Amino acid sequence: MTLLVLAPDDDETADRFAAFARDSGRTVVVANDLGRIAVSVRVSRDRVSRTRIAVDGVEVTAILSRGLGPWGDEPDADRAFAAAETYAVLWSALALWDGPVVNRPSPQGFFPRLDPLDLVATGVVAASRTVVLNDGSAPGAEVFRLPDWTPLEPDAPRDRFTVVRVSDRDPARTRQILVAGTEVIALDGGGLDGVAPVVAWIRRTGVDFATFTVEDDHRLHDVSCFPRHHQFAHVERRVHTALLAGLTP
Amino acid sequence: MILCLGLAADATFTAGVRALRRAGVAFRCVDLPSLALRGRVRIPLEDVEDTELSLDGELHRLGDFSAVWCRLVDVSAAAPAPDLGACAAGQFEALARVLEVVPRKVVNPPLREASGFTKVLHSVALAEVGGWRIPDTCLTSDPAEAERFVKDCRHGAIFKGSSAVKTWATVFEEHHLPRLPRLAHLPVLFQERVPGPDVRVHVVGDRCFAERIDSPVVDYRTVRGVNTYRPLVPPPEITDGCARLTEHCGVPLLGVDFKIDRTTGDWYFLEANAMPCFEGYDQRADGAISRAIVDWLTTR
Repeated sequence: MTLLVLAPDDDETADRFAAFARDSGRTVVVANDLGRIAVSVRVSRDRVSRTRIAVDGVEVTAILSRGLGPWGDEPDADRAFAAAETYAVLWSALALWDGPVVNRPSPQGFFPRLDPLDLVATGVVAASRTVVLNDGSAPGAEVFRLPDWTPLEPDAPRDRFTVVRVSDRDPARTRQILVAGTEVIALDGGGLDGVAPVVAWIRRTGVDFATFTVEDDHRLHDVSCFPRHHQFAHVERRVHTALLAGLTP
Repeated sequence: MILCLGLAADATFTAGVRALRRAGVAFRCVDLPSLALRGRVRIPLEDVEDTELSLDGELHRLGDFSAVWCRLVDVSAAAPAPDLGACAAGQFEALARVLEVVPRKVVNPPLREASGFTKVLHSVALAEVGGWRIPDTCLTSDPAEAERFVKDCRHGAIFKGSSAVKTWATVFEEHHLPRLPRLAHLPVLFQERVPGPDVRVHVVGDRCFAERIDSPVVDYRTVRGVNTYRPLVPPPEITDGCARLTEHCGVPLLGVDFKIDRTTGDWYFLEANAMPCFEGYDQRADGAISRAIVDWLTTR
């Protein structure tokens, strides 16, 4: 009954969940390399698949996926190829495997693209007051540089090669919500009014561990499939319990 | 008016632009490296139709165009300086996102078909939509399993990478056996070899343009001058499935690859490319594919 936590080496959130699962009596391995993780995916002509995943020689019975970390920036061509292949192998294997997976990959992505604009297009939520630009300015105090999402000082000078995302939101009216298995938790103590459509949309993509931020006027800001433990420190046991409940074969 | 977003150095992108010109359709082009080098983007997420691209004194507002012909390529890795590379990557990420949601006809929304990054899942998921067979497949890190699979393949096996990085399909031969232990560190995609011609079907909406390729080698893309290309009318189960595929994937243009087993006549789905380099096929089809793209972009 081995639980595989697939996560980058420096993922403290994954490590803390693994420790909780061990304390709960589960055998847990945190790993991310194909030297330890063995996969076998067989697909017949009529598309019937059979997948086995093992870690350290033992077949796993459940998986929590936190991904493998950044892989698209590798400058060495051979390493970049190996990274792309590793991602592809685990993406197919986890998607087709019939055991329980938290944040299971799908044809929509290793982690699906959860762009608030997609939900905005359906009219269920409103778009955030956000502008992306590489020259000029826009109102807002929350500034991130793209594509690496580094936070920048809003008043710091920028050259025209810096592409930024500037958001104008009121922190006092913004709620952060966590989805963990069947649990939906308002992390900052606010209510859950109006968040049901967002939660349903996230779950439709197969994601069951995510955070999102929403303003009181139903403006959806961000969705992330990588909740960090410091975001939910005050409800960590509740979150871990919910995740582990979804990983019982 | 059509907005064309791509690279002046991309022959497929310019093939689409030339088709618009031949058809007398008004268009404006934005070269993405030039946009990063000396242009400006401004994308208000509250109204993506107000997205503005400014370059060389011209300002293009997305909402003023009826449709978009785009082949977005992230050119940041080829940028001559890190800040220019970051700008190209940032613009690419933002534009790709906008082109997914702007209420205009877009060929093709750049992020829509993601499964091409993982070939096994891709073939299973898309063949399900098409209702097609796929070749017997084995993706494994187990050398013994790979060897058993290869031996069980009646016509032999091929192997290739499982990601979107281009690799050539290669026939598995005896001399590959000593290299199988390497699978433990990086699994490889093995498939039964289907003896027979390849077929490429370019699908534009629900219109199919198919070509049969007979080649003396297993991967016809690796050789020039020795392949035979002939137009082909696929059976209805193929064309109907292709039309379902563009609908399902939400992308109007796909390059769909099949093999035909010459001993049985059975078709096997290999993959569907959401960014197909169609210009060679289009030349042999006397421009039929690019005309269909123009029709799709200009038809309400």
